[in-house]
Amino acid sequence: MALRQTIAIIGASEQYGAALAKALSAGPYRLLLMDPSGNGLAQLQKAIACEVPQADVEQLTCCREASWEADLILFALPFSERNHLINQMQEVVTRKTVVFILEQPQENALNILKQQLPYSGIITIAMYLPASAADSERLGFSDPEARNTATKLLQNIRFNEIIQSVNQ
Amino acid sequence: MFDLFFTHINQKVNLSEAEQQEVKTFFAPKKLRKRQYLLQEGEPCKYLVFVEKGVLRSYNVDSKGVEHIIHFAMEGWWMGDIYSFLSGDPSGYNIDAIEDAELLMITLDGFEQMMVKVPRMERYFRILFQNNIISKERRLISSISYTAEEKYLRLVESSPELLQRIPLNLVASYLGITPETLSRIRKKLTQKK
Repeated sequence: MALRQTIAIIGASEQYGAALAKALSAGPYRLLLMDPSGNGLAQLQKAIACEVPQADVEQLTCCREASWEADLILFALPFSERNHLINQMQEVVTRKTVVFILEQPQENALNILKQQLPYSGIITIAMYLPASAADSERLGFSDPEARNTATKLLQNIRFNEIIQSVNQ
Repeated sequence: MFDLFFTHINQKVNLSEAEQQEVKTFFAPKKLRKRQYLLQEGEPCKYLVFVEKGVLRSYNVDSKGVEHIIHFAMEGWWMGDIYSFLSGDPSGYNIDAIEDAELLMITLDGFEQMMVKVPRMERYFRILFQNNIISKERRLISSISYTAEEKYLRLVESSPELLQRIPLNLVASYLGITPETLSRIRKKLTQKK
């Protein structure tokens, strides 16, 4: 049995957060679902359990706790809501990879995030681009290690399907 | 989160506040739940970890499926398969949590960079590795020369807290004896008192 990577999804009730949670639930991951609103997480967990009975999924109420336990953090909330949550998680995401889902174009997003989390690997994923966009257009990386992490993650997720499912 | 870590380090080398801030940037804080794995046999050991809270064990499993515990690590101790960590080769060990744990983890790249940026950490690890060699030699001598009772008494003397926290079947595995033998030894020692 391979080692399970733990992924915290912050904003798991958001459209992309939920779609990514479902896509990742079949992979070799332990998922920690967190959303500041607390809405819809039980429903999402139930939906995942129906689709993937062997999925390892749990709900957490605290962003810091979820990020502390995780190896990788997927931030699926709107970019404008990041500041206070970054303050909460900053200390526990050192030397971890934090993936930011961008629903809208954000000027200079990668550099802003690198300044806010200087000791973490940062990946940005531009979900607003059409499903046909190449990964090289869609993804931004802070360093080569973050690029490797993203590449491995992408092997287990089909972005086109996620984007299409959210836009349906 | 780093309280015990720096207390431990500062017992061996004195780090300035600036050096402590620098060292912090190389470690990933991680929580591990009871029974979760940090490393599984056949995977390379990517991290050397410091235990801030909880207890970890490293063990291997023989061809008959019997677990042999190599080490325990509780608060203030380090854990990892150092051979696999340094060489990148697959590990022959499993490491998991016996209690919920809070860890500080460093990769080999981070480890090397930290030594360059904070040379005092090189002295710290030199002392740590020296102590590790001594402790491994003692454990080897204990396993080949001591009786089961002597092994148990040495553990009582050196790590009384471990015995309070670890199930007896795991203690027996660590000592290389059966749980029944350990139980007999404990009963005999209680009767002697």
